[in-house]
Amino acid sequence: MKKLYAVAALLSLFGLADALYLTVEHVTGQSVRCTIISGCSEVLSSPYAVVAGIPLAVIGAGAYFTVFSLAILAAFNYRIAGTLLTVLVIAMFLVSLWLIYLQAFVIREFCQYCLLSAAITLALLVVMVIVHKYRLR
Amino acid sequence: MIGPADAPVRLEEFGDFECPPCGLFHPILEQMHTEFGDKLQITFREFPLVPTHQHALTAASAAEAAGLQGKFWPMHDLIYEHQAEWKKEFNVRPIFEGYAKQIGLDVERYKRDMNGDLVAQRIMQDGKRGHSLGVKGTPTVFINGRELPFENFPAEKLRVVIQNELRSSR
Repeated sequence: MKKLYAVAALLSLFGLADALYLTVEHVTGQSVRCTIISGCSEVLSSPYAVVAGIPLAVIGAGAYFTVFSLAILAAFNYRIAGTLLTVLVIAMFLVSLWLIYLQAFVIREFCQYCLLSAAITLALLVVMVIVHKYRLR
Repeated sequence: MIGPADAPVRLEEFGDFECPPCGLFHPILEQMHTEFGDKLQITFREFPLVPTHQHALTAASAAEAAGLQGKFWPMHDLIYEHQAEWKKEFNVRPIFEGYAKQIGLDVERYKRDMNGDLVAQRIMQDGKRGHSLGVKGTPTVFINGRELPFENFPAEKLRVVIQNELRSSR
């Protein structure tokens, strides 16, 4: 079980790095410009990239940091942390599905870093499913 | 250029017609033009990001060719307003010719001008000016010669910047 939570913590660090990169892009204004070198980000410059004035990347970074903290606590047998982690990962997965829908059918452009984040969230969900299978044994 | 030459606030935008953030900035500038009228002069400079945007140069040429018949802004507005429709097309020339017809241009002259030296020179001059000012991407906006930070692009913040410029010019 400890190993599974360690995997979840490691995955969340990849997610955190991805979200921090997107946050830097947002803060430095690169997401609201097109350039010759990097092209432009239709997804990051869309109105969906900001929720209540907060960049979605910042919210994502906060979520991954929380996943990391909860996974570490759960690895040291804090049972409530394991439960909260499951709830958070399910919520993140649902948000990821919504964001993929927006990219595919509303914005009609894909952001590779957003897709990477969705893949990490899916991997986290798989880890949590395995954790619960172990718990039920 | 729109607005009087001696307007107290001069806004210069380096834009690319195929750039989505420029498309988002377009209605904001229209709003500012409506709100501030003769107090604000807006200049659009061509900065097509070639080869990132395959149709950017054609769009810039279309706007400049329309400009040679005194219809730069109507063409500029139509191109931005329909950005999402034409940017995914393979051949955009017939679409822009449709816009030319719509705004009452002499289409044959427009087609000649599109490929003419004058239009190419105008685009090149704008590009040269952009490079001399350190423009790296679009939209890049200067207000009275100072670059507008990206966080001031939203209408409510841009309005405050323009109001401050107006105050300091009194």
